Amino acid sequence: MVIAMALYQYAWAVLLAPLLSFVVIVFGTRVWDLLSRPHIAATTTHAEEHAVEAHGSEGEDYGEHGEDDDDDPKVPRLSAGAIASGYVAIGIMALACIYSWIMLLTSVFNRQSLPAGGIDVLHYDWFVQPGGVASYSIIFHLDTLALAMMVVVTTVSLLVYFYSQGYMEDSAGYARFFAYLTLFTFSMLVIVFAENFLVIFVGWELVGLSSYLLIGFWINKRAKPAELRPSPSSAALQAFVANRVGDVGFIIGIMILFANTGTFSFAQLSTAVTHIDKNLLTVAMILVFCGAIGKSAQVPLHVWLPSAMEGPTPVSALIHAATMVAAGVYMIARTFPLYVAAGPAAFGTVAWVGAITALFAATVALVQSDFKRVLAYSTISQLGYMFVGLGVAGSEYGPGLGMFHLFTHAFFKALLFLGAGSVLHSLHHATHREVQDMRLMGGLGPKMPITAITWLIATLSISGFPFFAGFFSKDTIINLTAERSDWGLYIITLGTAGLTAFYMLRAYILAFGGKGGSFGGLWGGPYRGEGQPHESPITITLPLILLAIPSVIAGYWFGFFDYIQPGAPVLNLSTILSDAKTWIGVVVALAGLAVAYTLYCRVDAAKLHAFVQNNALLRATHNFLYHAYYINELYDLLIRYVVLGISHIEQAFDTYVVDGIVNGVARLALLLGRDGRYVETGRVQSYMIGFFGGVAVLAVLVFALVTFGVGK
Amino acid sequence: MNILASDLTWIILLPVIGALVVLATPARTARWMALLFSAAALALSLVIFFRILAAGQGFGDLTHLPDSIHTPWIDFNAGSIPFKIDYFLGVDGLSLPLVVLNALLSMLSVIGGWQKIRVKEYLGLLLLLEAAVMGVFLSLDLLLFFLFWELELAPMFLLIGIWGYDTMKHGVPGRIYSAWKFLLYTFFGSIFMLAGILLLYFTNISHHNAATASMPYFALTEHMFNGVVNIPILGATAGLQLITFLLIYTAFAVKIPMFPLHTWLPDAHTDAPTEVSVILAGVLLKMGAYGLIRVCFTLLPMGVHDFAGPLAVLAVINIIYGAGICLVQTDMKRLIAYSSVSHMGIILLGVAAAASSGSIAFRTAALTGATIQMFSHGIITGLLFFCVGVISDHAHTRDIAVFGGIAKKMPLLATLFTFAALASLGLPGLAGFVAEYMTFTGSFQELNVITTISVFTMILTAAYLLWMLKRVFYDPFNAKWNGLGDANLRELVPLFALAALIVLVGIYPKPLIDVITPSLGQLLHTATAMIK
Repeated sequence: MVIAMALYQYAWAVLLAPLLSFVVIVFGTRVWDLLSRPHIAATTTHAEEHAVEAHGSEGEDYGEHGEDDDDDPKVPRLSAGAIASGYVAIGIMALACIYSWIMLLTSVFNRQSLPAGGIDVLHYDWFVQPGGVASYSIIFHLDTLALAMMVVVTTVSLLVYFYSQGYMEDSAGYARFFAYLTLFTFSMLVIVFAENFLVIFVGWELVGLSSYLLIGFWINKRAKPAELRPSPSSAALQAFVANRVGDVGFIIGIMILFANTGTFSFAQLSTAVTHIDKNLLTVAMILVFCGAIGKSAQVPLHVWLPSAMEGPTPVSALIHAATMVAAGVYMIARTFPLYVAAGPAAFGTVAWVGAITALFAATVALVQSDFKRVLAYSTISQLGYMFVGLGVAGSEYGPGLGMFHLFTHAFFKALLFLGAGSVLHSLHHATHREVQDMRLMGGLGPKMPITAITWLIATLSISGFPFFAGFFSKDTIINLTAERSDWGLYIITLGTAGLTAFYMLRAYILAFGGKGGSFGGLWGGPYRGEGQPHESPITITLPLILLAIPSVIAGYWFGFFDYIQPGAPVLNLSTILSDAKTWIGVVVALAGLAVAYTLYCRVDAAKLHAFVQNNALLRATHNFLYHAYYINELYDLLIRYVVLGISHIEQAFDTYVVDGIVNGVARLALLLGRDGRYVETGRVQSYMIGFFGGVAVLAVLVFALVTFGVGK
Repeated sequence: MNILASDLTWIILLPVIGALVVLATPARTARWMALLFSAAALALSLVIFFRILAAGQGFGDLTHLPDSIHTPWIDFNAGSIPFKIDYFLGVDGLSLPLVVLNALLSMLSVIGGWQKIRVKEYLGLLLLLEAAVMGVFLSLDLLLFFLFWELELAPMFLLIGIWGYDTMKHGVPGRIYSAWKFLLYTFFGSIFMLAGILLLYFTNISHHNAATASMPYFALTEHMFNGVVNIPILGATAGLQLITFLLIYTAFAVKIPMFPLHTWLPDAHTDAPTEVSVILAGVLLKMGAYGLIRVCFTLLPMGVHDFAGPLAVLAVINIIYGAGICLVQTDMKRLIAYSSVSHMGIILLGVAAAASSGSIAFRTAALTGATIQMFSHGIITGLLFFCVGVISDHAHTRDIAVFGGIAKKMPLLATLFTFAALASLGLPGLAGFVAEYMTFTGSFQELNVITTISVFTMILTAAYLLWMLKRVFYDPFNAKWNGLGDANLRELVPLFALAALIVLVGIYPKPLIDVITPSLGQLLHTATAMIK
């Protein structure tokens, strides 16, 4: 018991581990890396303090061809400092990961070892007032919910770090990349450990920063308008600003809670909210949910996530699939008691935004041709499921439902992204350019067997194929909507499950299979690109294999709901299998898979394309979906003409009205004083006399009046 | 009491002596002399800081000064009217951070201005400016305060007018136009301030028969007026405190600058040389905010309270209007100047909330946030202007549109500029966040609608700063800038110094908050007693 307590008390080591890596890399190994490069030694000798984030010197003249060099600058061979950066990050993260698993397993098998309310592991104050009212403290806290999220973050982080060694092999910004990754993991753990709204907001913004830095990692890369791909720096800007839009709602919600209770603490709030007017609390919680809408890319703030795919693929896997985008789900789970206390509209909003997003994103994913973009929309859609899970669960199930899908999704979605990265990496080597279009892939199964098989496992998992992880976590959510007789949500989530199965298998076939391959087209077939792709190195394939395991078995943690919230129902295999709704879900998923199989394995791709193009309605629908309902274009117009328009009006007002009056007053004073002789000379010096004199008279007048007024 | 025995006197004298030495020695040694004397002033301010810290009695407030000197200076009677100005300097938790900030930014500006033409005069004037600003922060006699307030204009006027940029504006070189505009605007405000101070002074004579302009005197509840005044011509009545406040505040409103008195700032900034912009944004604007809290709020709480509503509205205009204009700026310096308008609005918001009549805990939080904002905006905007200065010196332009992807050539500067922008947009872990978060969350209870509108600045600030970074540093590289070199060691010193301070305050603001808390506690206590 004592040992277990000590084990939990030192959990802050997990939090600070990535920060330590970050500091070591930024001030140590990255400087070493830069100093060992001949070209820039002169300008970086004093670069010891390399500030909080280091936009490196990738633009060095190492490559042979100019343009490509700017897109993804390379070095001939990594320096010792760069390699050390990777080792530091991986080594420290491995220790943190092992530690978090030990804590998780201890708390699972010895539920009593961790107090029900959790424990504070680190605490310091900013500003404390008498009685603790309106005080600002940084408190890090550990409980079962945090532990479940922590293992996801550390595990996926570790695997992605390891994978990045292969994926970023000779990138000029290798050390910088690892610095950003460790900064991200730290920021994410701040959210995980947060005990109050101040800390969670700190982590919230910091993951936004890491996301911004990593999306914009290739700082000079060009946009590709033909493929609807923005430049990484535009994508980074969009991501940050879109998140900020959500954050405004978030902070207004926080302020309402704070102003009415005087505290940020989740624990104190959950008892204090009973005193708040219920309608006000409902509004506050919906506003807090706005933060989740931004961070978890829900409609209408989803636009940044597809653009975020411009970052390196390991980043997409870690941040934009498995962990950061799930922070919104975690935050709602964390504040679950507040939502329970609020009116039903709060949970209703969560569930319906989630459901609409799930359906919307799934329809868009149906027609995407960019490999990563399919996965991006799929992530948005699956996050929607998680919110549905949170929204319908109620106090009986607790936040476990949404968190369970987060837990399983983290593994199979990371696997999907890393698998996609493996394909892109291989194609880059084969074609010497960046290929992300699935129309230039096909038949890669036999060429990249490990990638293909693990990808298929993840595809089946996300599609809800029986006995894979996604089957348990997703079907539970869908079934619960029916149990709650929320038929609208049930139909949407069920239909979306079918769409999910369809677009995921479609993506798999387009990349790895095709008509003419073995197993009826599922394995191999014609390759539509150039060169000779082959399997990626072990640094890339090992994480795929390791992630394939939880993609299957993570769903068998039947006590998950109870672990997150003691007393919640425990899942049971025979109950699940004896429920008719489960089999309805399975039939829908199988139908989706079957349609995808028929269309892409049995029909010629060119024929299908021609059929769609020749039917006006299909073509229009295809275009509408392909452009994601043109929402991005709409926002562009809004910003260009409305927001910037208002700014231009303000600027004109400032120049002609405010400043015009100022200059006008000066001129008028001059006119009166000097018979207008020098008015048109524009000599500013001469303004002084009239201006100053006029003002002085005025001031003396006021002074005199007031003084005499006082005397009375 | 010998005034030379006080270390506070020496904080003002050291830069003055430094200026004389700089002007008297040849250019080669003059630079080092300027650095030496500015460093000495910084060291002395830190000595005072740590001595008060070590004494363990806290940093005190206006009525419990941890360090002060008070001797009669001018004292004569004109007929039956006594004129009395005391040499009264002192520091407490509110002024000490600003004294240190001024000393630090002045020293860094000396380093920044190392290569200027006519370097002796330039550095000499910078030191004189430092001395005058020190006087403003240290004076506890209203008339002495006014004297230093005016004194600061002269070096600033010359610094902008001589070393500024030559871009033509309204038919004259920009530096001339902006220097005059700065001077006239400030004079305009100063006249009202003088009237307000005299009103306070003479009213006190007629009410209490005591001739004094001492701030600690007026900070006591029993010396405050609460009368109503009839204005003869208009036939209206208004609170005496409100009228005095409005007169005095006019000067501070110009300095802060508060809408609609802000248009001198973008011009002054675009035409001023880098180091002058740093001082202007970092310290001079703080004079206005400091005056608002120290003079207006402490001595005239009823006046501020009566004006709290309009002040809150003006604050939100500053915040949102300033941020909106930033989006369409084409000049980096002008953009940062308007961003100052927006960020200074947050101070106004905090003060407006603190002057309302709600829960004291939230008002304390709001005012604490606003006070931290004074300090953090000083270091953050200082860093931003230093960064623009480096680009401007290397590329000889500040036009956002002509750049593109230059992070490739200036990786270190890009890092620091990005860092500064992130600090400015309120990223947690950096100084700006602490101030903004505390101000907003503290103000919301009193001013919920106003604060709700204000937080939308989070979107605008992120948009204009990151969009500027994108256009300048990121995106495809513009081959025109192939010859551009990164910042050198001398240019990096101020950047790293400020960056380190920003991180320190951002992660662990408690030491700074502990310094300012007693002062704010005293003034809010008095204010609450007055306002009822």
